[in-house]
Amino acid sequence: MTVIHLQDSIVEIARSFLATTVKCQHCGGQAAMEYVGDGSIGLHVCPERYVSRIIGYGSQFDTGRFMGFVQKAIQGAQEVEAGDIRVASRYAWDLGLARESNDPILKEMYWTQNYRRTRSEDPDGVGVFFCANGDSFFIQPLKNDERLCGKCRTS
Amino acid sequence: MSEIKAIHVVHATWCPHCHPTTVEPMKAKAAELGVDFYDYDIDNPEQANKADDLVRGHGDWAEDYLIPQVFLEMRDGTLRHVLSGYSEGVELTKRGVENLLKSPYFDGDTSAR
Repeated sequence: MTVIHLQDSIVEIARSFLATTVKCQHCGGQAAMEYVGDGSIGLHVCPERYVSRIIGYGSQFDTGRFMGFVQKAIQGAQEVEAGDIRVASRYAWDLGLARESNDPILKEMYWTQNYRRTRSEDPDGVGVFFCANGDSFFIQPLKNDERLCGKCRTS
Repeated sequence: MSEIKAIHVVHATWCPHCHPTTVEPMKAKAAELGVDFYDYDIDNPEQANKADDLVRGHGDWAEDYLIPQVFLEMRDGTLRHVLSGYSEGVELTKRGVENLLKSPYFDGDTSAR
């Protein structure tokens, strides 16, 4: 059993224990985990760059800040409501780590695209994509196949 | 004697993170320990209120909260949230349940409680 050391960061634990590949509901391909900025935000992104899920990692639930991040990422394509965000506490015991504490090791906040309240089957709709250059979100019609944001396309 | 008095699981019948991933192994562990087991189906109106109370008071609460969520009722009267399902995938929820069942909560070692 792995013992957590103080220097182990939330970001390292997230990368080591919470990275998965899932089936993309947009294209049916495999959506792998990618990270934004300092790694405290994870994304499930398919090869076509569609963002299935945005995940925030932290020591506490800062849903206001996370909602702000998501709202900025989706650039007004839709409104983010509190009910769109779901949260989870992760403990040593469920991650398979040894630690003498009942406190959570990290907290996760999830936003899922095209889920529940915002679910749509409209083929003419738009979606949130993540630039293949790996540093910005962009919006485009679901029918389009651009993998770069507007800035990268013109530079 | 186990320090656990009962195991509580909030779930839905259609949820693959819940069935057979979480509810069945937690129920089997309760039977093995000889402690009570309670499951609350969020789609059953009579059970949903109790599920909401459990999650709001002790778990990972959100308007559309994650399932499953597992709680341990201890003999000292405390109620501990010990697991939420992983949106990253059923395989992580399965791993979480397996790890939980191997944890000091269930192996008789009280040092980590």
